[in-house]
Amino acid sequence: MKSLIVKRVGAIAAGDTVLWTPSAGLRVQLLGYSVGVPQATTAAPNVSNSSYIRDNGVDIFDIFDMSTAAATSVPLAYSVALEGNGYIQGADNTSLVIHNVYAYTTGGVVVTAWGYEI
Amino acid sequence: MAKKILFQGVPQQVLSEQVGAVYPESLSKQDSGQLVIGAQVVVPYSPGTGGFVMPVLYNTLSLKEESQRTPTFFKFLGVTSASGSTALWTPTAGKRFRLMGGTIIVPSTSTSAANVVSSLLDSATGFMNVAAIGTTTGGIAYNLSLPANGYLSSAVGNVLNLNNSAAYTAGGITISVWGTEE
Repeated sequence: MKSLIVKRVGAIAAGDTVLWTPSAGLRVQLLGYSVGVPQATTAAPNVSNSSYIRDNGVDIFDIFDMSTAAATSVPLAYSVALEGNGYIQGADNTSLVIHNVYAYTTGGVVVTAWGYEI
Repeated sequence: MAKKILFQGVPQQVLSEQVGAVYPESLSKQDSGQLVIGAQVVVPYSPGTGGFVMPVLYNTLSLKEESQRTPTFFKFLGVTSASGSTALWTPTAGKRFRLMGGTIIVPSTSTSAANVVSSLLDSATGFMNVAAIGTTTGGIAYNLSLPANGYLSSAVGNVLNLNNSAAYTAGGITISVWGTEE
């Protein structure tokens, strides 16, 4: 049996942070992921920040929303197991990224993803 | 000749001589180096080129076997604070949604004047509560994974709605779901 591939990244900046770039000619088959938001995570005043797992420019999973200005989050951590064959990317040679609509002032989201490349 | 397939998320190969074979639920079989466990049916994919391995589920209401589904539709709703229903999944015309799993997130910065219960509605009929918060709350984040083939909508064309019993005064609930349409 093939071994799972595991990727992890922390994202605090606005825009895209690459989570998983498959090998040439392949696409990601995402079977699960976990999300951690540390206690010190804050967003800038008057910003309702959101973070997504994005596939080739399209938001697929909304993983966290900090929706009150200048607030500090309590820690969050959860794990997701996708049923069946999970989520398979729409095209080869594209990356899964973490997309933050705005930058976090401190903290941010930490994502670990697992699956295969097919 | 072997054909590469995906079986419960794991790439495997099926040999052409396995096509048409039925492995009962109680049987575990070592076949050509491949361990086969559970109720599976190998059906033709293309003559002479191998086949699919299909997990089979038994429905105790219809008394029939059903093929196990894999999610093909992924939907999400950003922060939702309004009272009442918001459409989360509108199936394609002539189809009904089958909910297999999802994630629910309520950040700790969300508040409500009245205690809010957020639930999922099959059109207008509630079938699952997904969150409840007080005037102050800790963060909520979890993975909802429904067993087997999940929840099939009661009627073609029904919309899967998220319903808040009252408005959030700050923040709101974020939800992602996945499943099939059929």
